[in-house]
Amino acid sequence: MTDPKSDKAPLMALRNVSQVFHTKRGDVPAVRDVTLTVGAGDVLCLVGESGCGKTTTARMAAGLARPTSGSVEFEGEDVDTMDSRRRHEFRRAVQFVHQDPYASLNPIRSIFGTLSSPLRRHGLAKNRAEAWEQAKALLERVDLTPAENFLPKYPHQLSGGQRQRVAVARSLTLNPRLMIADEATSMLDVSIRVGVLRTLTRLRTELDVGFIFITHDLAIARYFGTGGKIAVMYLGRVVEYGDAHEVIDNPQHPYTKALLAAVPDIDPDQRHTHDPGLRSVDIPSLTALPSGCSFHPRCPLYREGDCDTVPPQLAEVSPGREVSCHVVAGDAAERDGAAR
Amino acid sequence: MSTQEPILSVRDLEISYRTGAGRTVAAVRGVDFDLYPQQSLALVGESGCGKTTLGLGLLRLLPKLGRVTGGEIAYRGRDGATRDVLAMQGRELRQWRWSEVAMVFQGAMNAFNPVLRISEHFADTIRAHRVDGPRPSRKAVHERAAAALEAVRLEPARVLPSYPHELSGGMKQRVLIALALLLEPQILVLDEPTTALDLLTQRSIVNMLHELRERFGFAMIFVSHDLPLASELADRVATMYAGRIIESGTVHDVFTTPRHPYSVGLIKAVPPVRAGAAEPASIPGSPPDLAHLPQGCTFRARCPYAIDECAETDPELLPVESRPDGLVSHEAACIRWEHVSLHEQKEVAGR
Repeated sequence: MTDPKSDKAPLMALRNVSQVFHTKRGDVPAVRDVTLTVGAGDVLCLVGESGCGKTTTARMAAGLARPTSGSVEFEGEDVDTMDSRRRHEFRRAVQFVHQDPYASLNPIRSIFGTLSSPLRRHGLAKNRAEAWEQAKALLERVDLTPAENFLPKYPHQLSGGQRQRVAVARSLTLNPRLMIADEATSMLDVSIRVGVLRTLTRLRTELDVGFIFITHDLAIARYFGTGGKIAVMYLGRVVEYGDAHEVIDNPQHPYTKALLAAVPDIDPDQRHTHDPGLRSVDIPSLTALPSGCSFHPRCPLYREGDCDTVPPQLAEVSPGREVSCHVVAGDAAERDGAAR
Repeated sequence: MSTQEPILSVRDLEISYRTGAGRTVAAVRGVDFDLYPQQSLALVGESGCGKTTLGLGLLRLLPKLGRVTGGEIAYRGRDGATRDVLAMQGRELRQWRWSEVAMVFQGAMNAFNPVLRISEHFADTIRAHRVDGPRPSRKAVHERAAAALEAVRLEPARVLPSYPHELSGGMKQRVLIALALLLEPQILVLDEPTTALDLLTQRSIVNMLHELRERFGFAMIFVSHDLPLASELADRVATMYAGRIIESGTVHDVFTTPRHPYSVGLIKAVPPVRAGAAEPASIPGSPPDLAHLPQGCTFRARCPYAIDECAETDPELLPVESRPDGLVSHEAACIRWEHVSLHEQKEVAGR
C-alpha cells in the first residue's frame, strides 16, 4: 500500500501521556502516565472497565485530544509539533471506527456519498466514476458484495453488521496505517461479530494496518489480539501489559485475575467459582483516587506497607510481561533471587 | 407450593405489529411454554428474533402498534386460581402487573424519570399498583423502599434521596431490580439486565440475582443475546429465531448438546476466553425479513444441514428427549436434529 518506512520508529508511540479534565468538581485525571507503542501490522488491545481511560487514550492517539503532558509520536515525530503538511498526512493515516454504527453514519447520505466524500476531498478520486470504482473496491474489501447493490443504499436500509462494515470501509478510504477501533463490535449481534473481526484481522495481515483495539470483552481481546499485545487499564493507568494470549491465559495482576474470574462461561460443566475475590465492588471516583496503588481498596493481595502509600510502577516480572503491583513484583524479585 | 403446576402457561402465542398501510408483521409466532415456580428461563437469540416482544407481551406492555393476535397466556396465582392474562382489563391488569409479574427493563440508564428522586419512583410504584385499601402513608412507603434496597445491598439513606444521574450504572441496575421486587412478584422478567455494565459489576448483579431468587423464590424469564450469561443465570433455555422458539431444554441440553443448527451456530460464534477452545465462526447470512418469511424452515438459507425437504416444512418442536411433567424436555424444531451436533459442525464450518 504505502512505501515501507524504516522500522526504527514505531508507527505510533504514546510516551508518558496524561490527560486531566478540569471540571467543576475538581480535576479528573482520566489517563495517568501511559506509555504504549504500536507497530505496522501490530495490534494493541486496551481492556478495562468504563472510566479506566481506554477511550481517552485512544482519542489522544488519534489526535482528537491533546495530552495534558507527555507526547504522542507518529512514525517518530511528535504530533503536536508537526507542520500542517505532516499533520494532514497524520490525519489521513490514523482513522477511527466508532462504537455505534447506528449513530456514526450520516442517515441522509447514501453509502456511496459517505465513501466518496473523503476520496474527493483528499483528491484520491478525480471524478465521480473514479470514486464509484474505488468505493466499490472498498466495499468488496469489507465483504459487502455485490458492492453495486450497496452503494446507492442509505444506512437505514442496512443491518447493524452491514453498517459497521460500511464504517470500517469509510475508515479505509484514505489508506490508513493505523486504525483505532473503539468497542467496534460490542453493538453487533454475536452471529456477525466474528465476521467483522475477521474482516479487521485481514486488513491487518494483508494491508499491514496497525490496530489499537478497545474492548471490555476479554474473549474478543484474546481472539482479535492474537499475535499482538494487551494492555489492561485501571483508573487511568496501565496495570498489566504483555502478549495477548499470555495475559488472558496466565494473568499476573490481581485486577486482571479478578476480571477473568468474572467472565461468564457458556459451558455449565466448565464453571468454576466465579468469585473475583475483591474486597469491594465499587470503583473509586477519579476525583478522589486512593493513595498509593489505586487498586488497593479492592485488591485481594493488599498488604500493609507500600500498597497504600507508594504508587507502583510498571515493571517487568517475566520476559515480555509488565505488571504494576508491589506484591507481584516483590514475589517475582524473590523468585529471581532464589533462582540465583 | 406444588412444583408440578406451571405458574405461567403460554399457548400458541402470536404477537403482531402494525407497520402501516394496514399490514401487520408477526414478531412472535406459535410460542408455547410452561414456566414452573422458581424456574429460571432464558430466551436467547439475535436482535429482531422477538425475544423482547415476547417478554413485553407476557406483561401486556406492548407498544401501541403491537398486539397479541392469537393464543393464550394463563397465570396461576398464589391462591391456585388460574387467570387469563389476555382477558384482564384496566384496574385488574394494573394490580396484577408488578405485584404478580414484574419487569426489569433494558438499559438501566434510561429506565428512570430523570427529574424524580429514587424515593419518588418507589412511592409511585407502590401507589400505582396498590390493591384496594387506603393510600399507603409516606412512612410505610419509605420502610418498604428501604427494605427493598437493602435486599439489593444498597444503602437506603444514601440512595433514596438521590436523583438517577447521581448513581452509577451498577447502582441504577440494582435500584431497578429492587423496584421490580418491591411488590414481591412471583415472576420477574429481565430484559438484558446487565448489558452496558462492566464485567465486575455484571458479576455482582448475577451473584445477587441468584441470592435473591433463593430468598424470595420467584421465577425468572431472562431475555438476552449473551449466551454465557444466559448459561449462568438460567436453568432452562429457549432459543428464538424469526419469532419462534426453535429449541428448548435445560441449560445443559441447549449449550452442550444443541440439536438445532441455529443454536449450534450461536454457540460457535462466541469467542471463548479459555485457551485451547475451538475457533469461533459466524453464521452466514442474516435473519429473514419477518414481513416476507420464506417457505419452509426459516433458517434454511443459513443452515449447513439444509436438505430439499426443509423447503417444504416449517417443523414444529420435535422431542429430542422427553422428560416427565414438571421437568424440562429437550425439543428442537429441526427435521434433521439427529444429525446436528456441536462437534460435527467443524467440517461444514469452513463454508
